Amino acid sequence: MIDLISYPVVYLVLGAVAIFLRPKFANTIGMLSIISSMLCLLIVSDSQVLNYQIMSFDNVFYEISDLSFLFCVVFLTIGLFGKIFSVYRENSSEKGYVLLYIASALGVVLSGDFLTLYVFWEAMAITSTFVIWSTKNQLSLDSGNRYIILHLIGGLILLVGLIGLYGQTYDLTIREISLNTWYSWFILIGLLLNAGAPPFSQWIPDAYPEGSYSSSVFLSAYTTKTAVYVLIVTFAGNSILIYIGIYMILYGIVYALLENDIRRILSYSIVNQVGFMIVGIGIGTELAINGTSAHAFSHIIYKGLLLMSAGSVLYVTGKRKCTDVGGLYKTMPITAACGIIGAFAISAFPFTSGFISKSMIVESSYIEGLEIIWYFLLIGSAGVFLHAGIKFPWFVFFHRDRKLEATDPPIFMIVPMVSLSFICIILGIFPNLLYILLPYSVDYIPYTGNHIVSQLHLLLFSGLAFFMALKYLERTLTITLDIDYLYRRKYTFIKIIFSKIVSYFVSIIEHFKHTKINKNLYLIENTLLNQSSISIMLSVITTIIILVFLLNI
Amino acid sequence: MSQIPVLIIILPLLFVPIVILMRMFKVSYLIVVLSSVLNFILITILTLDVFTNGAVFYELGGWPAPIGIRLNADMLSCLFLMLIGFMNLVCVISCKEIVEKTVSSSKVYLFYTAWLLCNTGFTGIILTDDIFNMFVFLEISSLSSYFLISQGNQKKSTFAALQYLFIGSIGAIFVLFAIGLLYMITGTLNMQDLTKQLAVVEEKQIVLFAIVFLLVGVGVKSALFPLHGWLIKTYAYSPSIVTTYFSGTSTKIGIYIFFRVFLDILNDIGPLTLFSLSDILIALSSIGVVLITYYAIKQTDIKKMLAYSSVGQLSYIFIAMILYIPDGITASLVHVINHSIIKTSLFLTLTLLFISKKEVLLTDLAGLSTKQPIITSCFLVMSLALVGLPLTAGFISKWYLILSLIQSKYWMFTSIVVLTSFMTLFYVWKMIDQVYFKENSNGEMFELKKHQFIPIAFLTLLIIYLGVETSLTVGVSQSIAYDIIYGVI
Amino acid sequence: MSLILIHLIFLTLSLVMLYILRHKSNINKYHNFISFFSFVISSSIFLKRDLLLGTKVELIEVFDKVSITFYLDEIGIVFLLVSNFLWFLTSLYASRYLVLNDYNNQNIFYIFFLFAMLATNGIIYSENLFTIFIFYEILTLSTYPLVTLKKNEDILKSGKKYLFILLGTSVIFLLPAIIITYSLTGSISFSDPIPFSGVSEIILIFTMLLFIFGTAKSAVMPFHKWLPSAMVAPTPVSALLHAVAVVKSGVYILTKIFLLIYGSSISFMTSMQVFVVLICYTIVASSVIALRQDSIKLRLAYSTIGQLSYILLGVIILAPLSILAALLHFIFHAFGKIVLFLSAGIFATNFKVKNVSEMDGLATIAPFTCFSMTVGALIMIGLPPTIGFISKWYLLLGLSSSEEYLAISVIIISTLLNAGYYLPMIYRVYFNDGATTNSEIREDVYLVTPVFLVTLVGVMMFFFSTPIVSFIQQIGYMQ
Repeated sequence: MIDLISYPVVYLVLGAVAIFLRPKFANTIGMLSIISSMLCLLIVSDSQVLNYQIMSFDNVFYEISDLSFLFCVVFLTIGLFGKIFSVYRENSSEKGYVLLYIASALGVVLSGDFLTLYVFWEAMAITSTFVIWSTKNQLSLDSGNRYIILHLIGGLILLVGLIGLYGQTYDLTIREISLNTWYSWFILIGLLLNAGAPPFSQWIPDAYPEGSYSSSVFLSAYTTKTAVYVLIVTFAGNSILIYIGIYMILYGIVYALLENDIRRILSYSIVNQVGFMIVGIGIGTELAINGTSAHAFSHIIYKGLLLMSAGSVLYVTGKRKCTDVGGLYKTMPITAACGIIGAFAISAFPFTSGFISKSMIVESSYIEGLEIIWYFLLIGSAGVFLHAGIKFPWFVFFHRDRKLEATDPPIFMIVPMVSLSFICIILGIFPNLLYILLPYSVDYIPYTGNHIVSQLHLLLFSGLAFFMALKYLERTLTITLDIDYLYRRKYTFIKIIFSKIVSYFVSIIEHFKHTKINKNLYLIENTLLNQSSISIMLSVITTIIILVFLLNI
Repeated sequence: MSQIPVLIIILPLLFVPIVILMRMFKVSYLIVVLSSVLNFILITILTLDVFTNGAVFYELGGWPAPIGIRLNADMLSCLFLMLIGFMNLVCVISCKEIVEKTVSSSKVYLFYTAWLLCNTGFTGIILTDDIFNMFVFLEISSLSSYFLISQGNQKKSTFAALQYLFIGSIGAIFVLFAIGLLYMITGTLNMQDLTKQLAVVEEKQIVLFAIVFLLVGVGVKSALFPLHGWLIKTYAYSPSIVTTYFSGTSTKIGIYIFFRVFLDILNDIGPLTLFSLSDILIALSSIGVVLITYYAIKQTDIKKMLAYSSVGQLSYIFIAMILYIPDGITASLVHVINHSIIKTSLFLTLTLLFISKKEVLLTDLAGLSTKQPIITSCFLVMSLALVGLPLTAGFISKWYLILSLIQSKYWMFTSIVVLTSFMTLFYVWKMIDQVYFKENSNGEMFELKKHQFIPIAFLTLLIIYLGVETSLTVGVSQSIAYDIIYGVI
Repeated sequence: MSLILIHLIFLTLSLVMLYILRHKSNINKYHNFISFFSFVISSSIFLKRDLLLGTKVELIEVFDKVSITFYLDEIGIVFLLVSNFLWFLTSLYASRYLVLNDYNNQNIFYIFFLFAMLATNGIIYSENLFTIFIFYEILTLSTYPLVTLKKNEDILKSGKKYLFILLGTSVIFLLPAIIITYSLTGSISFSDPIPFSGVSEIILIFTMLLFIFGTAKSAVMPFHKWLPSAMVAPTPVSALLHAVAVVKSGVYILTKIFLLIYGSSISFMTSMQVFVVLICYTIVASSVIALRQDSIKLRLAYSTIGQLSYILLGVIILAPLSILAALLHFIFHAFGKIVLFLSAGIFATNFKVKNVSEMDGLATIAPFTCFSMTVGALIMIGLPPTIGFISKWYLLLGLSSSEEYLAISVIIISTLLNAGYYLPMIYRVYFNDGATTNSEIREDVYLVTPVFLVTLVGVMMFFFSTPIVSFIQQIGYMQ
């Protein structure tokens, strides 16, 4: 029990409980708990193992490896900045749920065996649903419902896979699993669902924009990246992941181009970026894994930054659609600047963090001789700039001026944005700050002349394409149809048929009311069984028997 | 000591002239009580004797059988004898006010006379060893019961008595015919002798005729489906105390005759299995039970409802008897005892609550739980015993009944019996519903004196006792059953 | 004298005492004491279980080889502790509840509540099928006045349905099943069972079907209708009896019958799939029906039906891990469901909220109740880190070791359906603003305390689950 002090998750849980008991101090408590959790993480040396017995299993709660340390650092960093960003949010229970969400994500990353992982996995699903629901409007209710049902399905598939794993091997420590048994496929599907893989990628753009202006920052960071972490540890090197990742990249680009809602664009872009990470996992070499981890790190940072700027726009203007905003660079200069930096980071401009991380993945595909994959990754990189690098800042801050009443958001929302942009640029300039944290030793040098030039080529031409096709890229009010059409529309149809069948059966049963049977039975009793008929019966029987008797003698 | 069998029969007969001559009903009542008490004591002594020493024979007038009439007291007779004596005692003790209020005062002494004669008839049927003598006593008891029934204070009482007269007479003719046939074949009237002679007879056809006639005749007497029509009207329109008495005794006498003839005299031939009558009879009885229970649910008059219920329970007894396995015969005998006690107690309760009422409807029971809580709990126990819930006597008989049906592998009839016992819950519920959940709207008070609690309470305790400690009822029945099936009685 | 007999005699005498005192004004204090002592006795029986396991106390022999006998075995210990502990807490809750809801014949409640718990303890201690049948019927009869405590037209109708279904199924199915067992094997005792020999499979399956339908208290469809009808009862009745005592005794009877009387005879039968299909149907159908209920108690009732079938599924599969799961779920479902029902009672009492659609925004004014309700709901869905997850884990392990893929998929579907009808409750109280959000009424302290205690115990049990699991694993039927 005493060992729990060295467990970073505990501080976040305690912080959440404190927020529920004392809602007035939510902001201070939130920041304190994240800071103490960070301190715990940094102080405690690596390879701590915390053993606990639950359900007669020896569960390993807690194991820090280099990879998990990296993920914990970035989780807590974005957590801290997100908390600062959400200072003005009035819903204090939302802040408590956010802390619990971060706690469960940390728990997944830090767990040493699948049972603990599963416990925190489900806790993540529940707490993130609560975060979505905290927005308290009809849209968030509906999308939160869909979100949790989908995540429960994924959790159950994962559970079945784990049961199979345990049933066959009686060993639940987290380790590499090869993809040749039925249960490993179940585990893979369960993990991929959380990562946003097809065909279930739609929940990300469905659910994440429904958070409040500040909670989307948190929502985007944790669920998908923990899935990436677990995939790295368990399924690295399976080539099917490459193809899944490429699909995700292209999917994200296409849908993001079609989208109108600002944060939905960014959510599709999450799918896109996670696709890159999954390709990296699929390639599986040391360089690729390094690339994935680095990309996860930088993605969390710059996606948080982008969502913060979108959130600021929402907070100040109340508008969430591209068609409603434009020309905000004049009135919200700092937000625009941070947004642009974030956009550059996501497009992997040189001297941003995206540049140093994404290229590792691309490079590793090239080294492995996967030419076609490499081409696709390049196409993807171009597309990223198109849909997120230019489209987002252009339509939100430039383009048509809608003359909206706006100012820059208050100080506590500006500080984290600026800090995150700062981090993006610093990491871009000094990549080794990030490379130290990577699991495998890095001998990759991102800043080669070749690399810089080719990247700038890519970006410039895609920028040209954007402005040439600007007419077609004009935002209109659209609803993008995705796979969720099947389960949102069709099932009402099934419900109608079902109720018709039921009513038909009920009417048949109504038919068979026993009025007819009643009458018949009364007839029997009154005629057949009264005394005259009995006497007649007896006489008849007597006569017959006498006759038979006489005939036989 | 050795005169006891004949004393049991003759004692009430001896008191009859005294009752007729002394027309004051107080005295007649006392005489009847005296006679019943003495009778019961004698029966007890006889039973104890038979249980320890075996069957007792008594030859009337010293004439040996098969010329003379002999009385035979064996375990089967003693069982029924105890039952009749006990029911008689219970009814007589509680009947004073009822008779005063329902029977017209000029006829009271005749009423008691008929009661005594009926008593004689019943005990005579049980004790006698001569088949024609049995017919004579059957007629005595039937004639006296016709009179007793007609004394009810409703307009339909006479009509009910007449109906019973007609049907009962036809039944008696059938019985007589059967006896005649048997005499014709074997040349003897003594039961023990008949058994021996029938075993070696060759013309089985005649035996079949005799059996069928006997079946119909005794069926009328014991109200088997479909010959039960008279029972309903009789129970409904006779004086309540008569209903109470008959529910425990008269139909059981019919069952006794069945036992005697089919399972004792004709035992070696095995009449039921010989001509595959048993399947037909079981099927008929099962259909009957379903219909009867359905009608019972539809009644609003409590007495008619309980009458239908009696018919149903009698069919259970009959089915169990026909199965001809030890558990079956045990079941029927146990149910004879248990059902008598339960039905008598139910009718007694109703009688004592509504002494002078003519027709007792379900709605008259309303509000009983608030006015008479102790009687209500007793009533509840009796009703639950009727359904057959465990810890009551009804459960024991139900257990054995289902056990015997399962052992004979009659699955369909098992399900019918089980279903109908569930259906009894429906009409029992109607009574309980009125008692506990309805308000008494017409403000009639229930007439009950303090001392009248005692028989009701005693019978309730007996029901519970027999539900738990079954060595008396089940033990005796089992030994009778084993004797019938495996040995000589 | 055996502690078992002391326990039963104590309960009987207290029943008589309560009946004598029935015209006094507050016998709830006596009732609380009685339930507390019953719990104390149960704990001491648990502590002394090594002495008491396997001992028999015979009261009366009714037929030959059939008698009223009591004994104690490990499954009984589990049920004993759970039911008596929860009885004590519910009686604390009930005394306040009845006062706040203006029931004017409270003494009837206490008398028959005690009677029902006496019958439950009788079922726990029964050594053979005959004794269990007696107490089973007594349980039905004694709970009837509790269901119809308020005597209006609709409640009497529901009460009639309740009584008829329970009595009817036991008379039509259970009694013949017991008699068939008796005639086929010669013994209906749990401690000395005689195995079926030379009996065809069809007859065994038929008898098992009779047992399942006969114990309608375990709410297998289609004889489950009594449970929704019983929801007209006051909440303590619904909570303790129809979530813990009555329904669990039905499942307890079936567990004992399958494990002890049938035991080895059915482990080689291939046609057990019939039962698996029947139970899976019950699970899915009850969850679907629960989705459409707006009344809180009805929703919880249908959820109970499904959860009971989880337990039955675990028993029927006869894998060691699934039996473990069934017994664990026995305990955990009791805790979760009672918390849910008692919270629903607080909603109905303090806030007059009876339907899910009225539950908006209750968390601001009833935080402890809503927390308890959330924990209970999470237990029912089976999400970690609640105890509901533990039993689900073992159940899935057992099912996969027996390769029952239909059952696995049914469990997954039903988990989702459970989430589908519990999550709206959680959403509404926390995240919706409703008419009650700004009202001044607060949850009643005396009502909340027992509920919150049970919730805490339920949460703690997750972290101390290892001793519970290892205790149950020691029960010898895990072949």
